[in-house]
Amino acid sequence: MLVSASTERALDYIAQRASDVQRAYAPGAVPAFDDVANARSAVSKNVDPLSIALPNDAYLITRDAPSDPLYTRDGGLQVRDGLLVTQRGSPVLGYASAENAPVGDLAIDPVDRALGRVQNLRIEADGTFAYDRTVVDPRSGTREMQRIAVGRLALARFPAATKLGIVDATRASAPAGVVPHVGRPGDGNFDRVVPMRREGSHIDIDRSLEKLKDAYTAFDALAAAHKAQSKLGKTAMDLLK
Amino acid sequence: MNFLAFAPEAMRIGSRRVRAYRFEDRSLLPVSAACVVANGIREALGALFAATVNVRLFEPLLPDPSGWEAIGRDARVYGVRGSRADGAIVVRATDASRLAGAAFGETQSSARALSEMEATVLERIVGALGAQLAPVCGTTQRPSVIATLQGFSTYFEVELEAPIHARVGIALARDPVEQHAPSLTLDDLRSVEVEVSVRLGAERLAAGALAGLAVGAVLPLGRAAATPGIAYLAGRALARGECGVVRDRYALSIGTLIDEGSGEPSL
Repeated sequence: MLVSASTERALDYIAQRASDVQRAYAPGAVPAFDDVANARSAVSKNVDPLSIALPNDAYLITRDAPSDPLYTRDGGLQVRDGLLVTQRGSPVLGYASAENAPVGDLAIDPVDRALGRVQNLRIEADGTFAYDRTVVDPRSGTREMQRIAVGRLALARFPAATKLGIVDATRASAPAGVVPHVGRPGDGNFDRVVPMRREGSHIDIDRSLEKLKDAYTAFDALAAAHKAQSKLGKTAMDLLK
Repeated sequence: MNFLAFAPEAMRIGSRRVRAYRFEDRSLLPVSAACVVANGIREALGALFAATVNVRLFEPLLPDPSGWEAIGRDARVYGVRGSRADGAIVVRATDASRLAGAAFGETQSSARALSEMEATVLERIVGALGAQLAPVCGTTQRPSVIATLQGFSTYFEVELEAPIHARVGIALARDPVEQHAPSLTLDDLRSVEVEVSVRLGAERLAAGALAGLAVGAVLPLGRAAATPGIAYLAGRALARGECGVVRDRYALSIGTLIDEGSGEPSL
């Protein structure tokens, strides 16, 4: 039996509403529907120096090679194989320390990493991904800590009312043809990030459940209408016969 | 040699961040020796570039195979034959570009293929650096390109600060062997002068008599002709004996030696 277009749309609608419910506790999750969005999400403190809360309306840029960039508001980051990555292991993009560097992966110096010199990895308020290493001043023989800036996080902002495509619990994709504004935290266009914080979900679980129930109700109504229409058609045929 | 140390990376246990302990194999090359090399490199490059070059040193260590692999990746390695130990100068691709570029007044060069002239300049620079390995390698020969870092054990790096912004690695084929110097014997200390003090024996005195003490008064200590006394060295009681006068000099006749831990109060 063929599924009518209206039934298909109703099922998609239910799936999207269900997706909002499922992601209601995912850090930084953004809802597919604005009517279940929290104006402000809960931000929790932690002791993780690689965890940040992003400015409003800003997204981190990640990539899943070789696909297009994806966007996330989940600031719980980590380092894997020397790369700054999200909790799911996708590299987080930023500007390397060299001047005029394009947006790319933020990687710790491989020799520093291999020789165990990397200490105090952190993300600073201006989005700098930095670490310390111990060096010796050969003239005095004194040891000192040297701050190494790997690079600065890149942030993206979309035009108002842009509807992002939901990829998974925490990541979204840009709609076709929409190019976000990209910059750095604290550059005048973006506020600074807040280290040792992690943003909760932007999805209101209660309203999401209500809307999911409404979607099922609408689907039931549609099914009843289809059934009535089908019954009416059968009656008409019987009369004709 | 193995040293007890903490891992550089902290791990999360609940809400706490803790660093695991571990045993690390550390180089016995003294940091001071590496500092001499670093200062030599500073002087040599300062003379070559006719500019002040500030350097920082990364302490000597014993990289594991993955460490050597990371060090040697995309690097030019120049072997230096030494009379005490062989060494190598390691220049990564980015650092080679920066060193060669600095000779032509460039700053912040990225990794690229060097022109023939730049390669020649780099070899001259490395040649000048090779002579600076004498404190750790002994008398050295001119550096020559080698294929691999296999067989090297010790590694340290010298960071060249602005305007060069590059690092030069130094690998050594042999880490110094720990040498145990013979410990001091009593004979080594016989000529050392120490100050010994003697406390005279105590006497009980009525508070009224104490209040009546004045300049010129005499305070008797003990009733016998010889007064007990205790000899102290650096505040620790050494011996008990009797104080008296021998050939017009005050003296203590040693009666008993005091063992450590005998409960004798210290000064």
